[in-house]
Amino acid sequence: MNTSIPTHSFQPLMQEQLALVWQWRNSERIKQNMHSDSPVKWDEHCAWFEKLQMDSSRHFFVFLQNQRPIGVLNFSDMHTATPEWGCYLGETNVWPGSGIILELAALDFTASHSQFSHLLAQVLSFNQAANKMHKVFEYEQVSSKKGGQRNGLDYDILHYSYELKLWPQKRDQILKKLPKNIALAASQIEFLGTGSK
Amino acid sequence: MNLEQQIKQAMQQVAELSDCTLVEPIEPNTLLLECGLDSLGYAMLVAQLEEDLGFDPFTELHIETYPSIFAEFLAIYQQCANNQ
Repeated sequence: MNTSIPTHSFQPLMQEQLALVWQWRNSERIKQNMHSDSPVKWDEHCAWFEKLQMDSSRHFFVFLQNQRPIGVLNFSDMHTATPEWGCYLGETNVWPGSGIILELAALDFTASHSQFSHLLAQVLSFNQAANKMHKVFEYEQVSSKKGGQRNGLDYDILHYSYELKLWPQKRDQILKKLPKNIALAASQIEFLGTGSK
Repeated sequence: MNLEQQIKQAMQQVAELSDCTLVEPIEPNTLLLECGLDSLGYAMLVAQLEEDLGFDPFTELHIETYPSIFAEFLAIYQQCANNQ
């Protein structure tokens, strides 16, 4: 059978992708799940990028599907043993399961660096998709803090942690729980320009 | 049951299995990422449809642009069904 599983790679954000990422970040679908749902001005976005380039504790990747930019994957606190990550799919016309690839890639990338002990994540309580995905991947929810109000409703910020030494053993078990195409796609995840695959 | 009905029935099954709530109704222009299924649910839907229909357009066809809305998703399944 002819198979068309897409390739997935992660490339450090480049100047020429700034407008695309800005457009994604300000879309209603993305903004609603961010700590701040205020629109980001272009000048602020450019200043953020300038700062990002000088900050080696943060890695910001563009998620490429068959070489096409479709989302982002970012890490902060990379100078510590417990980096934190975040992601989103900017495009809507994506391969089914693209969000799972982001989740896999975050663990693959950090588990491949021996200096990291845990991978941390924060998710707003109303973001059911992200909270469920972290549970599927067996993150431990370590705390919950009051987040504030969004659309008139109170929400919490849920803090997750993943013990990275467990990931090499658990990776195959998790993949077996997922549709088979995900495992096929997971074998073709590549980080460009970082020496990690 | 036609293909559209089969897909909608599979969406409902997957939503129940994965503890998601589908938006009602699913319209031709409903965004797949906002239909109520999350990324895992969307991947499960494709696997469920492969079981139900015996084919998976996402592995059998070279898709230039993946579907964004329900009508595009249905069109890809219709195209693949015609090729069987």
